[in-house]
Amino acid sequence: MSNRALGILCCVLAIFLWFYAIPTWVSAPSNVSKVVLSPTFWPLIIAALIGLSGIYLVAMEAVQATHDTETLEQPESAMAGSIRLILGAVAMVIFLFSVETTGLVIGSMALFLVIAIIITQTISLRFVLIAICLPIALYGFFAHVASVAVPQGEWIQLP
Amino acid sequence: MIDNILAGISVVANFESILALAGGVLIGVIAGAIPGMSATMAVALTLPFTFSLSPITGILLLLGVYKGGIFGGCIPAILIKTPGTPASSATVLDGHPMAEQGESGRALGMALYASCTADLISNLALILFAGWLASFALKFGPPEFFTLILFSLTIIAGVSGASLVRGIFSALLGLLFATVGLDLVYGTNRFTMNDPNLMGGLNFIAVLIGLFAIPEILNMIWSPDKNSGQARKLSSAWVSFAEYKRCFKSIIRGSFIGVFLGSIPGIGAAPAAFLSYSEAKRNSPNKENFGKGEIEGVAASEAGNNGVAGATLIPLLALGVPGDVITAIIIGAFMIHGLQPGPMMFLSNVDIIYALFVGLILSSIFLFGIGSFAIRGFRFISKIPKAVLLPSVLILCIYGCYAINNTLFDVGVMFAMGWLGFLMYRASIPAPPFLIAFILGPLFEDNFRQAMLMSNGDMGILFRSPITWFFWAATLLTIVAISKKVRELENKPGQLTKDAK
Repeated sequence: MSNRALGILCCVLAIFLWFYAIPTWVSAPSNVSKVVLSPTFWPLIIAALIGLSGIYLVAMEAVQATHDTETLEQPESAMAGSIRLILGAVAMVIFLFSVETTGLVIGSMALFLVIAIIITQTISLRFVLIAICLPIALYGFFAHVASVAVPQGEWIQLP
Repeated sequence: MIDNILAGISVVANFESILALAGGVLIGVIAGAIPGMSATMAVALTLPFTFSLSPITGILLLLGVYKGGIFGGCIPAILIKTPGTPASSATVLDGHPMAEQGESGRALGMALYASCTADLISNLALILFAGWLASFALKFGPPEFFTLILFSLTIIAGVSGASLVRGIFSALLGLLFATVGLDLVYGTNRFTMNDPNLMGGLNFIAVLIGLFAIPEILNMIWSPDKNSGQARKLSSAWVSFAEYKRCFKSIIRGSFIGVFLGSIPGIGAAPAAFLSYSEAKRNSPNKENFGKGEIEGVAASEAGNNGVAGATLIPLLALGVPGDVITAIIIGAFMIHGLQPGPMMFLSNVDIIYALFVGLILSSIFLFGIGSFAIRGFRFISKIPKAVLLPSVLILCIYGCYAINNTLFDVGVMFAMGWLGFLMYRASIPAPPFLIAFILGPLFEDNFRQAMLMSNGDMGILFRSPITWFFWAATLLTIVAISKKVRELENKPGQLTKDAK
């Protein structure tokens, strides 16, 4: 991301924080005697500094015309990479919202398999075995050694 | 003194105490190596087992878990870029690049040597200077804390790569996320959206794991490595004495930073590790290699966080004040056994005090032995192909994150921070400044506002003592040095964001 784009993003974020997020989501009592003691004081300072960083980044780009030359790894096809990311995000969201029904063990098994398949685009016996054994081993440790109440779900009740 | 030491040895020199200490270190190393299972959690889980033990055996067991846990956190930090404990966050910066280059054995070896050296120095500081350090720590009020943390925030320059502005932006995001939760002074909501889960703020470990581990997985999903199905190369090289000697200065410096910060209640090991790392980078002839797999970076980070371990017992034993959450649990163990830590304990239970000192020295030796054994086993994780390792890490992180508070909300926070970390990575915004600011932000704000409450809004309180003056001067000098460096970099075209990640 170029300095200019990041700078503009910082400025937009600062404006959003200053004019919407802080007034809406930070409650301050009306009887605050000193402004430095107000719950909004610190978030406002941070918002202002983000805005200043943004202005500096834009100005730096204008003065020096520097561009990012860093090459991060790229997929063979950006479309394919984006689809894989969307699938990964969807898998994580479905996992989060279904864990209470499926339980952490079965949910983890499914998530492992989905992520492994997204990465390798193949399915092998090795993945299936790990997908079964790893969540069960972790369940055993956390539930029986660390005494964590691991969600069991509605389908299977593990000992 | 000699009589007291001999009395201490006689209390510790039995099979039960030695076994408890060694067992504690082993439990701690294993727990520390599991992301999400922090040293705090391991100590808390071990506490009930001490009820039936004699006081000294029980306390030695907890101290062993504590020491082992702090060290154990470096193992996943180096091998899978997932710090086992918050204290190991700084170890990721150079430890993981070393593992990627097939040098996990050297990284883990140096982490062990640095940890044991720092642990020993910390224990000796506790034994020799407990009283003096405790009285010095007592001089720290909110204004002194504020200036200390302000100085610590200059670490951000050391972990921002070549683009300081992007590092500062990252740190500001960290500060912003740290404001989530109930306001300290008025108890009002800040960015909680009236969700009770957010009222306590974002869980630190969920943020930590999300920021470091999940982006690795997302990067793999975005651009699967052609070699992801194959094992990484694993060199059999072990850290040499020459390398240890080269890093010795940074280890000693980091140990003293750890001792100093550990003796002040409430700071914790993570800031000590980052400060030690930053100072090592500032002073090293190999500063250009930091962040790319420099063994001195691993040594400095581990020395910083392990230097805290013995020193947090200074306020506990000398004043009866816990230095952090773990020592707060340990103080509970003292009380369960009818002991009241503090100055009077040096008179009424001097044999127990010296037995603890002897046990602490022994724990450094056990840490070396058990740590060597553990890392020889764990380092083969590097051989697991990434296509298998990364989904496994994801599942491990989910369990670890869930276990912190037994809530799926933390898992959600971890995922969200993971996506934020991934986007930051793609935009060449470094993640470590975010984390440092997230750790130090609440301390920074709380101490500032407490100071303002004390002075009724008068800023003059921030300059009230020689300690505050010292940290103001150190901060200014550091900012001048950073500005000079930024100007130098600006004169080198193409360097500005080259190693921002």
